[in-house]
Amino acid sequence: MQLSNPLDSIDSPVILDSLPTPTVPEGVCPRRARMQIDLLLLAIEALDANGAETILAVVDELGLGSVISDRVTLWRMRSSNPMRKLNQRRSLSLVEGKSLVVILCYLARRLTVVLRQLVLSQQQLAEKGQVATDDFYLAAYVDRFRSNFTSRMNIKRGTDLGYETPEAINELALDLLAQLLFCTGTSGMQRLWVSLFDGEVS
Amino acid sequence: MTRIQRQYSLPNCTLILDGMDDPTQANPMDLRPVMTLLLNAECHLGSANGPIAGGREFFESLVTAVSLYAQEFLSKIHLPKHVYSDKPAMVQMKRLGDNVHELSYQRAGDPSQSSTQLPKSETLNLTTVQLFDLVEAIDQFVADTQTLPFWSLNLAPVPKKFAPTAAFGKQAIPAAIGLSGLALTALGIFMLPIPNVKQPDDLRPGTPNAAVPAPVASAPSTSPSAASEQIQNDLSAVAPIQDPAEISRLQGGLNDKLSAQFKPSGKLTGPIEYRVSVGKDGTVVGFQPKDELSRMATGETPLPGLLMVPTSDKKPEAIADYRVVFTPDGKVEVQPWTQTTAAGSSTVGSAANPTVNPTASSTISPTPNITPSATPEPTPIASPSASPSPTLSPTIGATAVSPSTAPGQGGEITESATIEALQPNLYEQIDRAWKKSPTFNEDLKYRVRIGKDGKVVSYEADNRAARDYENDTPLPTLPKAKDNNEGTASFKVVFKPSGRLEINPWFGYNKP
Repeated sequence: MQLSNPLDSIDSPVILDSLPTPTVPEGVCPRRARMQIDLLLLAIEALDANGAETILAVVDELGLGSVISDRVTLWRMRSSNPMRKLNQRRSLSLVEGKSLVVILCYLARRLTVVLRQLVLSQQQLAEKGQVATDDFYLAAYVDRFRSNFTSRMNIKRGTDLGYETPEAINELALDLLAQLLFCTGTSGMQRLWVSLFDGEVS
Repeated sequence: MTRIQRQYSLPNCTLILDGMDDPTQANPMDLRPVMTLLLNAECHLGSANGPIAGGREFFESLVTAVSLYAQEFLSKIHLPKHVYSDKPAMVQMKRLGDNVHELSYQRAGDPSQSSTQLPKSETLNLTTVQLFDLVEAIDQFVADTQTLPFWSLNLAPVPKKFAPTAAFGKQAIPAAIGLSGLALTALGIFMLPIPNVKQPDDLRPGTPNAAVPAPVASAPSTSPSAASEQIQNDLSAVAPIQDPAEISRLQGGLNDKLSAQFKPSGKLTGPIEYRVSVGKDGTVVGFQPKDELSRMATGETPLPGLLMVPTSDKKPEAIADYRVVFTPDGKVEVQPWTQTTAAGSSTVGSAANPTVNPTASSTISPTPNITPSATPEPTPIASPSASPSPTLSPTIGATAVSPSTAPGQGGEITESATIEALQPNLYEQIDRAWKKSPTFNEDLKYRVRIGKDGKVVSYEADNRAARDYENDTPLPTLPKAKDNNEGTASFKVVFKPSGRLEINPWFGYNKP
């Protein structure tokens, strides 16, 4: 448990200033925020086959090297997701949380066209009474997401969230897709960041 | 004052704002003057009813409702709209399904609408992409510094008091159950009467006790060995356990306990031997060293630590006696005590007990051809008539007795033909009854004895895991044969964690 993270006071990259600092207990990202950030990154990795490398590449592009110094730091930050098999039991400071949100919204924006198309196809299939996996691209995304999810997440630990069945994971994948679409918006980054603290501030 | 129109176009949504600039601050050089006053807002969402439109109040309500709904869409936490305004919201949003978002609004400025009537509300179903375009149009308007620059999104997280989330409920339920369980248990324990602690009579020095008279009265701090000898005499009146299965079960338990705790310090020069009495529950209720050496070395063995001195009012109802030999290299041998060696000292191990102790019968030559004089004909089966101890023969008679400690009531069946006939039958029985999927991680080995009719007579665990997971096997539920006097055949039954069942004759196929 980090009571005061040195990163919070000094050396906060300028790009993070667009995100407000909510007053949360202990000044760390709450449990749901840690889960949500990691899952959205997981969805990006399912859309972009080279996702893991891309994430590292944009760290420098966005000037976040002082927060995410290397691959291991990134992995440790993402492993603060309590659903992870190798959960780090560490907290995620607000600066670290902001950095990951900036990265994921930046990557989502790059994928705007893909995201829009996939959400649209999903909706058209639903109108025709078909399932999302009837579409080739959607099926490919959902399959990749599910395999990443089952290999990295402890399904048992997530039981209270209801992701035991493949169908539930598919649904999660599609839900994340729509959320990523909202991240691509003009204020998507702020909207996502603020929504992570819903129900956590007094 | 100049009339200004601003348009924000997205594929599924076009937002058109009509307004005026502020002439006092207007800069004639400005190509895009700042709109400071909103007159009318129109939102085209591709609906058949035309655009939704209204004045400033309507637009404020639209922006707030859509913005809050977008946040709810991301976090799944619903914020009741009324916290932000006491006025009834002109625009409301509600989620109808995964991909359907309902927008309900009141047409402002409708001439047919009187102030006393409730305004007519219209609804519009938006898809996720349409909703996103609406949010994006609003975002672009807010980001536009030349249009109503005093507007901002005012994004803020939903306060905790408005978020009694389902996820929290799910987590709280097990905790609540646990707490109430604890409370109930506490209540139950509270109701119990306070136990009346009665000091055992034996502990009161000077009080003569009928059951344990001498040592207690004279020496309250009796040494374990002295006490045990006393107990031994005391226990001689106790009935011996006769059931062979029981004897071998207790034997296994005793062997486990002693082997686990016996750590020779190196002072032992030779094997030491004890007679150990075990109660039905497996506790050591007494032991007796065989000779002076054993008595001196008692401290080396785990026996004093295991001894549970029975009190006069809680005597074991039945005991089994074993010969326990500790060797200097750390081995422990446990064999049932038999009359041959226990003669004169105990009634335990009477002639009725057919158990043959290999130590006791060590004088029997293992192969019949060495003692031809004792055996009339050199049969391949070791006959107990070769035994130098005549006391054993009456009950055992001509029945073949295996050289092991098999407590089979009628002796061991060793004919290959019978065994081969019985084996598939046993496999079939166990395999059919084995329905539980294995929870154990190592092989469970059992020695199972079955009668000639194929019914299971008894079984005993052969390794630790087998004892622990006994109830995971079908063995306890198999129909047991009572009163088997025709001899039994022993099989080694192995339950593998993979779900495989292996059955082999205990002595192999080629036993003579």
